[in-house]
Amino acid sequence: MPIVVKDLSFAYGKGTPFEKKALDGVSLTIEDGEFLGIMGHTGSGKSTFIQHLNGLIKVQSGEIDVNGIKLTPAKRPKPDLKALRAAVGMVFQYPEYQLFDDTVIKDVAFGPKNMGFKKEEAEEMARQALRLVGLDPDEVGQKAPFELSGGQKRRAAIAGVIVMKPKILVLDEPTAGLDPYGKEQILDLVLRLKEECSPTVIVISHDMDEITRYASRLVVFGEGKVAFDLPMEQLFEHGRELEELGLEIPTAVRLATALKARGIDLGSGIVNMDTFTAAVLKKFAEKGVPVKEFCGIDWFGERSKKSGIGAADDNGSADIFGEGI
Amino acid sequence: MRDVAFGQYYPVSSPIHRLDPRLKIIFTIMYIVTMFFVASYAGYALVLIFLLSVCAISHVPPKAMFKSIKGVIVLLMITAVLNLFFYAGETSVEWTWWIFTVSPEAIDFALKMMFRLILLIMGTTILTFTTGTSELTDAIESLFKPLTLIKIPVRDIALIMSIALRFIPGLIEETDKIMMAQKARGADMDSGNIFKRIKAMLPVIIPVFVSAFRKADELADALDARCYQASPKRTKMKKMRFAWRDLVAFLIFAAFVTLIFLDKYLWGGVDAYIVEAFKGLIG
Repeated sequence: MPIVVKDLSFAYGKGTPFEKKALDGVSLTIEDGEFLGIMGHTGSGKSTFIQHLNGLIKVQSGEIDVNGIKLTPAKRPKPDLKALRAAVGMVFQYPEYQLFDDTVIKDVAFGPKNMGFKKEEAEEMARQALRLVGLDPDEVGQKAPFELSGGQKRRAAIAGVIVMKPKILVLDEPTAGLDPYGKEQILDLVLRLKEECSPTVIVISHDMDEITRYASRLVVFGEGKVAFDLPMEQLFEHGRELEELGLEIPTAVRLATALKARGIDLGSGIVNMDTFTAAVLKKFAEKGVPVKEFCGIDWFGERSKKSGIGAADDNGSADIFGEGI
Repeated sequence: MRDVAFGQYYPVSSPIHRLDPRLKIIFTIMYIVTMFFVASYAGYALVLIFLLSVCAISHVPPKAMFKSIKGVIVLLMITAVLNLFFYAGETSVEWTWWIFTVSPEAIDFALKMMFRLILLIMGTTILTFTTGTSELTDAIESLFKPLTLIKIPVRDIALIMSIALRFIPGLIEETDKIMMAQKARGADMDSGNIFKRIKAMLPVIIPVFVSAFRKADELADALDARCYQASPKRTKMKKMRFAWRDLVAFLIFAAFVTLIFLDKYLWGGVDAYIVEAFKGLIG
């Protein structure tokens, strides 16, 4: 189900003194099976953009096509919003605040019931969805949503969206307000959902390190426009422009650049910690250092102190790359 | 929801915006009282001219002012129709058709009532258009200060008011967000009869209430953590002071009120004279 967006523009409070342009001629094609990361500073229009994708905001100008369902400024023909919302699942920021029903299972079954499923069917779907997000329906199903922990609430809320098995899953900062461990868990959950029910995933994020690890493609929004839509390796060559848009370069890219400035070229293709580590290990191999020794050892523990591995000398460059090796 | 315009502050700079908010509140109250003493169509025309001039000086587009009537138009129509057919005063001629009876006096009465309501609403929105919420609460606190003598906690009340007003935009935003989230899950809030719609609002109302309580709790903690107390003597960052422009505004407003009262009690409604003069011109 490709999504094709053509020349989409939108302004809040049109015709009032508070008018604010949120989107300005956005064109974008999202293919099936993509894991698209959308980045942008607050007010760059990314949230407004994704709200268009399932018809929550009426199109003011431009055109959107989600798997044949067309959204245009015209009043007729009326788009089939129900089908659209079943196809595009939307997880908002802090989704746990949308929980309302007296039991978790009823809350998760809210979507399918709206789609016209019977109570039993809807609750069976809810049970499956809860299992999918890693909650035990027998344990938490009959609890009130407010009895759950923060992370559980967020999972339950996500279950309430994926219960309709959307082919496209959109998440607006799914890891906001979580600790690093919780973040990792939610992102792993997103990956699992992509495999098991929603082949196309769109995630809004602020965190470059996080998004580069998971996304297959990155689009950067700036002032209501698509500022960058490039392969990741090329994207980070525009470091200064990204910083002007209020975004940071991933730590891995910054490390690689810093190393390059000191004469250690790790080659191209470094976008996240995984590719960085791979490149470093390759470098070790080239230098004749047995790679195995560097895998799975405590780099900054006792051994590394003794051998000087991982410790920086006065010039700031790591000893392991020095002539000594 | 984001387009809720009624009574919203219109952030521009103008002489009206800079007037002392206490004076603006007093003007508004006096304006409301005065509206009940307007005796003639000429009087209503004067009020309208006065309002439009104030509007022009305040840089608020008249469109915004007229828009404020949109919300109550149904109410206006109903009152006009009721006044028209159930007028109980003395009548000169009566035109009857089926069960409806209309007289020139009834038409006159209904029209005047409608003008009065429209001008009342338009006039009072000028206050909210040109005065920020914090200014308003400060002014109310200052105006009610004498009540502290009889142990009424005016400061606390003013604080509660400003917090309540401060919460409204946030709550609207929150409602908007949760409505979107539930719509994305297929909730249908725009169709069905009134009971269905009320029931459909539950998935929005409950989370909004929960979040309002949570936010209130957080705010209370934040106030406590800073040892905030409303009651002891506090100083203000922005002190309200009467300026020369307040005096000018007062004189103009007093002249306006005087004219309306003269029209009622001295001239007994100038309409008759105007009609006469008009007849004289034609004749």
